[in-house]
Amino acid sequence: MKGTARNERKRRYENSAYFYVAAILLLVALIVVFPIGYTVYISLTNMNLYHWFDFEFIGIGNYIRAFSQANSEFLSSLGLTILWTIANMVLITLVSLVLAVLLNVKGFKGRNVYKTLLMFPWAVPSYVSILLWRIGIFNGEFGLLGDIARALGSDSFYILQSYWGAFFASLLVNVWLSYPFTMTMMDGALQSIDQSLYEAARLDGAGFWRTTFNVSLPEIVPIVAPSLLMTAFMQFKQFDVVYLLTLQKGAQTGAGLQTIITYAHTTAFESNNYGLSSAISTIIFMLIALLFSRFAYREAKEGRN
Amino acid sequence: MKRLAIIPIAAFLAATALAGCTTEQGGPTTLTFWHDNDEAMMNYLASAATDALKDEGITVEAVKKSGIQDQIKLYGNDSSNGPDFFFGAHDAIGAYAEMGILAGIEGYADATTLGSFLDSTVDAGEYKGTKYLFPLYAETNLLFYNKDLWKGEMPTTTDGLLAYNEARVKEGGYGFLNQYNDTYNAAPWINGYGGFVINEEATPGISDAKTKEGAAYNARFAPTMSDGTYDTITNLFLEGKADGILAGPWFVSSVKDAGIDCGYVSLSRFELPNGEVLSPYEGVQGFAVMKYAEGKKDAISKALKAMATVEVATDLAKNYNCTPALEAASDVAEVTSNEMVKETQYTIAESAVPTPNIPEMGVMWTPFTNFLTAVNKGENIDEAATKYQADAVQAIENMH
Amino acid sequence: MELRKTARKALKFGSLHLLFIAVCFIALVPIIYALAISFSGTTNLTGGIFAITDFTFDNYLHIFTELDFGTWLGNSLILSIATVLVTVIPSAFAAYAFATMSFRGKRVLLFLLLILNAFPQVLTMTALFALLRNTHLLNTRIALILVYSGSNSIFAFFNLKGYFASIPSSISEAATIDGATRPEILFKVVLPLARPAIIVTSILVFINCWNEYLFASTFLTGKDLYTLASGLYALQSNNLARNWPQFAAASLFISLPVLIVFFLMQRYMVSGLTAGGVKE
Repeated sequence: MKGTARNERKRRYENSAYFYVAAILLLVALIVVFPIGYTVYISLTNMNLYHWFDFEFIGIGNYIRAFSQANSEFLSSLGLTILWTIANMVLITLVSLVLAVLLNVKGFKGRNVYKTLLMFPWAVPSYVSILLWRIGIFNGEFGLLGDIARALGSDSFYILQSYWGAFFASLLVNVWLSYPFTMTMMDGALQSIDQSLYEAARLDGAGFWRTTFNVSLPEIVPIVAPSLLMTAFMQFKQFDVVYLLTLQKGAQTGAGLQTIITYAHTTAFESNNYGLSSAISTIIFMLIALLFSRFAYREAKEGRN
Repeated sequence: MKRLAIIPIAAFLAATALAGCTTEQGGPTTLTFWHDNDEAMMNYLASAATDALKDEGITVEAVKKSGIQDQIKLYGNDSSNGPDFFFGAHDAIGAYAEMGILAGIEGYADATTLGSFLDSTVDAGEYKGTKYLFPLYAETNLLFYNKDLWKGEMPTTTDGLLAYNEARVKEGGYGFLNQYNDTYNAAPWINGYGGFVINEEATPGISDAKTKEGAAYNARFAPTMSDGTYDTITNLFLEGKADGILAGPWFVSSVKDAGIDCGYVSLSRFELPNGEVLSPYEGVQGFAVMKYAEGKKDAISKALKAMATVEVATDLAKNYNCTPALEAASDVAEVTSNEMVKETQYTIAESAVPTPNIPEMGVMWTPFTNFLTAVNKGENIDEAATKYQADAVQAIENMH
Repeated sequence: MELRKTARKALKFGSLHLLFIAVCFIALVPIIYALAISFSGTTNLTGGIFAITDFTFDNYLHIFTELDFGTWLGNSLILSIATVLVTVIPSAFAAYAFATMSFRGKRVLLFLLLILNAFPQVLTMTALFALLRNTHLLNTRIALILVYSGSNSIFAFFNLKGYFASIPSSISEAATIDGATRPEILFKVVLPLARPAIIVTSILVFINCWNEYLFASTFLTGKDLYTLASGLYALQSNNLARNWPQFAAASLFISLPVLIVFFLMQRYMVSGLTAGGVKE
């Protein structure tokens, strides 16, 4: 009797939870899940230029083809993408954290002005700012780096033409594009820390550094961890920066820098073979899911708190 | 209070959001064409047709669509949101034709109308025996030179050009610049040597011996041409830091805005070491009609015809440096007195090669550009050719 | 004693100001570069990085006189604000449930949402197109609002969940004992406490929509539906005749509303926890 009542209450309670999450699940089902499902469906068909509207189901042929093309270039682009993700995450986290902590120094006037100015990279559409970097900074003829190189007596300096030069240039631009978001997140998290914790630390005689490491960091980690994880996803699937800096039509620099997405783009997507490129998209998705599932699982588990 | 304010805002948003779905007009016919071209020029075309067809109640509208090739593919089967016809280059015709989204142009223009164009321009829009393009003008790359900067006589050989470039670089300047890594812009060298990007049987020509010769010769120019990217070379030229540049009619308005006293020379006037001349790609720009627009056949035919007059062609040549596809306009004095048009006509007559319009050309740009880049960087040409030929073969295979 | 303390404080904040001025300058180099170009009457990229040639305001005037900036601005505002509402409200509800309730399938859902968000959205263009076409939503703002909301909601949800979870459960428990129902707790306790998080998340979503151009230029084909970002994209993609000064002016102009919103919102972003006066 008692047990049933409790079960009943539990069920009602659960149902109300489902009510709260229904709207977002609907949105996600429509805009995220359906397209993924559709992509998987297309990957099993022969939809290409020659069967644009009259495509039919052909099984896993596209996957076999995609795997048969996974050569050393694909593997090296995968390796580079992993390196790219790690390098970006380290730099983005460090830069954002330092800036956020300094912005939150107690009694510091002007934080709003600096914060707003530091937001600027984010306020400009990314295709515009990447173009500005390409022309204004990296261009060997009239960019800042070219000017500096000439001032130092060297010839014009085309950083985007070499593999590692292009890598570091892309890294710099990507960190520049990404830090405002993480900085804002961390700043928000720091702001939400209960002030009494700081007071307690002060009473213990802790200085700035000790407060930062013993109070601020442990408090913000659980808050910002999901967004950092999502930032990592974003770096992994980053396309614009590398593409617009080194591969855009009319601006190919020959650096040979390829992440898996740019690689897939130049090898498969230009073919107009939607069946094959959908198979490759699906494989890339699986790959991301596989690489990140450990982190996602841990995050989901901790989400219980 | 604050919470109440949200309600009208939300209602307003919902109303404006709904208002976004405007529907088709009623009554007189409105025709829409898409383009990714000079807006002033396209609006001129639309208004020329609208004016001519005022009595018939036909209005023609030009809508600019950036990335038009992808958009046509997406909207190619969508009569309610797609255009009735579009303006574009002939080399994309093959792909659209294979997709089955284009109507044959012969249903929209009779034999006399099509016969009034230069044969080469109509042929450029033919794919697998069907004509799809209603041609308006042709274009090729030319050598643009700054009359105030260019020193001495214009060379008549490519070796002369190379020597000129090397001398100018030594002086700390730039001679003529080109996007030497780019397939389209390096094509004059490749074609001039008898090489090819892709042939009619859809075989890539990267590993062809003559292609390699052309690429190797093209690579000798690279060190004299800065980084060879579009932004760099156009700005160097427009700001008076380079004496010349390889470009086409699309670049003229920028040159005029920059106030440069510019001369144009046909690439057919430069002899290569092998005795041939530089031979750039020829592009034909014109209209293609969507298959689903059949219900408006009559109106579209009339609109197309209204834009294929000597008067329109002359205006296009005069104001936008377009080389007419219309035969009757080709020797109108006002047209031939335009230096750029004259040089383009010369190039087409002498050595220009139509850009291949087979769908396979669409996947050639990347491997071919990669090949050129590798050669220009000084990599072993045979190895590069083998590698990128394989890439190209793979890319073509991937289309099916 | 007091004096030394003041001096040390002045030194501390002084050096902090110096540091931030330097950091801002470095971070803003590309922006200052664009600013200089936007005030130039003649394109002169080769003239040095911060050079202004023939100073003029014409480029800014041009974006209003020759481009349809008014319409674009209106469209961007409508889309971005509507998207923020359609994204943040469902996300806040879900975040509340995930942060404070336990129910069957919770962990699986969390895991799935995280992983789903990893799918590169650019790859789903064709699928979204098919969806919108079959629902006859192409060329409507609703389509774009839905697409934007769907693609931002997971991100907004995780943002909010982190904050909601950091609100001590003792606060809700106290409210429950006081007889508050769940919706009451959400609206009267949790949401006010999480105000900074909601504002931050709204701004993030707002910026994402404001600067999005790919979907906007693909799904809205009418010229009167251009947004600032898609209009500007069309302008620059016509790079056959790129006018750098006007392009720079337009780029900076479209970033301005974002910065203004951000600046104005800052004062609402102070901690909800202390503002709510809840201390344990």
